[in-house]
Amino acid sequence: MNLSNHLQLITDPSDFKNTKLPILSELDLLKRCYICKEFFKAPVITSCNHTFCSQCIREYLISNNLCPLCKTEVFESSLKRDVLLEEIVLCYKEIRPYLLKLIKNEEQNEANGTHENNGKRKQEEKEVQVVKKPKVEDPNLVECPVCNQLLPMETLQNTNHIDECGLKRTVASRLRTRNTSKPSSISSFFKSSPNESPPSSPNNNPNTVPTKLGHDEYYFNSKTNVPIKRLAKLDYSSLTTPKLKEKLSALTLPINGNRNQLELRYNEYFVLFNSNLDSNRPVSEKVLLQKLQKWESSHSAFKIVRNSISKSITDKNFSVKEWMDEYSDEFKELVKSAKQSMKKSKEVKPEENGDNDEMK
Amino acid sequence: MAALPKRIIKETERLVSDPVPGITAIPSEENLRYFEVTIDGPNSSPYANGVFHLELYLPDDYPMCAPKVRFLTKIYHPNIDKLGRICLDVLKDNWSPALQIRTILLSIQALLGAPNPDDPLANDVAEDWKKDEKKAIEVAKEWTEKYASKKEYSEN
Repeated sequence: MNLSNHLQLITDPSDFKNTKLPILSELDLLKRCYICKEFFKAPVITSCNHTFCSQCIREYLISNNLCPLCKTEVFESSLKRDVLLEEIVLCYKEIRPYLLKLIKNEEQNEANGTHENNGKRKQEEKEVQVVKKPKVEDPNLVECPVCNQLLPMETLQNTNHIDECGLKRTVASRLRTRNTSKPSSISSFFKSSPNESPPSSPNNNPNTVPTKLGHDEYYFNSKTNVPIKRLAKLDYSSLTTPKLKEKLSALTLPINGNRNQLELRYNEYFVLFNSNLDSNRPVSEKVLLQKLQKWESSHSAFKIVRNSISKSITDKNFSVKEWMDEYSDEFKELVKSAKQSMKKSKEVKPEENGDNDEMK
Repeated sequence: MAALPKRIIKETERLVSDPVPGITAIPSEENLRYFEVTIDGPNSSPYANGVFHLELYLPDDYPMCAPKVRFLTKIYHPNIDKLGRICLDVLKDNWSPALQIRTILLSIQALLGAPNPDDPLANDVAEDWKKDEKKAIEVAKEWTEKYASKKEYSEN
């Protein structure tokens, strides 16, 4: 996937710069995590009252203990879910494209009314269309079968986008049917009346604007006091490698790789698992395992180790002791498997290939 | 190519479309986590009129940990050693994910404008600086002319 495809999927507060309401960029910014700069995903609030994505702050707190914003001490155990904010952000995210379209379109309509700018604007419009067209025809983009949104192939195949879409659909339709049969007094109070919904102008908006997203009802009906079991942080200094492997396999995680990779793997799963619990719509453990796998495939610590070895040995500040410490487990493993293969070769005729694979 | 966090794409896009005056940062085509950076020496400093080349790398854990930055151009500065490594709090303990590539490069530019021999990385330079500041500034100017003029770098 190339960079321009990436850029299409990225939203930014500056998107509002050239609209009728540039001030909305401020509101847009406030709904974003200060760490990843994206809209809050499973937001949590710290003891110093700062809000971050659960995953972002948990990952940060593995190696730090200060709030990224105000530098006061923060404990992972004191993070609290913000259920309402998550619904607000989800709701806003869905409304945002319509909002942007609407306040941009208004500008164009106005321009059409004034004679002076008419020609110029028309030309601009044409240019915009010319730019937009190839985007739609981009061979890398595929229509999501559920929400009809154009997305890069990779996104559809490698993320749980379709699952999420399907879930949203069913939840929304369920809510809708329930709504007609038994309107709850609180939610109907907050429900926007059809008159307030953005006017759908037939000439420029082929997709109909939804009149109901269901986030309000979701919030009012959500059970948030259910006790949850989080994964515990591990104290690696007092944990042997076999014990660590036991812990990993108990979570159905792979146990291949060196000690450093095992620790990194547990840490990442620990963050993914615990932050998933902070989401209003948690995903299944299967999806978490997929995410972990994807993370590993893009992390350099899980690439072939040889490159990094040759690099650091030539480094001027190469420290033998650090090197020994870091790879002591690997050395032990190698010695162990070497001894084993020696035994084997004495007893039976050796199967060297199998041993070599183990050593890697 | 491995998955690139949206945040990096966004920062890159902004660095290219809305660059900081006196600073350029261009991502490598093979590795979008690696940037070729140039910083112009601040006007009121001994590094004025110099163009300093740096390399910047975003580790896998970015933005949980700071970008790695190093001077490629030789520079006479108490907080930058002969390998080009930089002694700057925001690159070490004071890093926060709230900071970004932009702010880091601005901090480095500010460091050029305000050398701090009391917190040295290049001890010999810092000592010279403390003993005879005027002379040290002269040497810094000489080095800037010798190594940091645009012509010089392209020849290397």
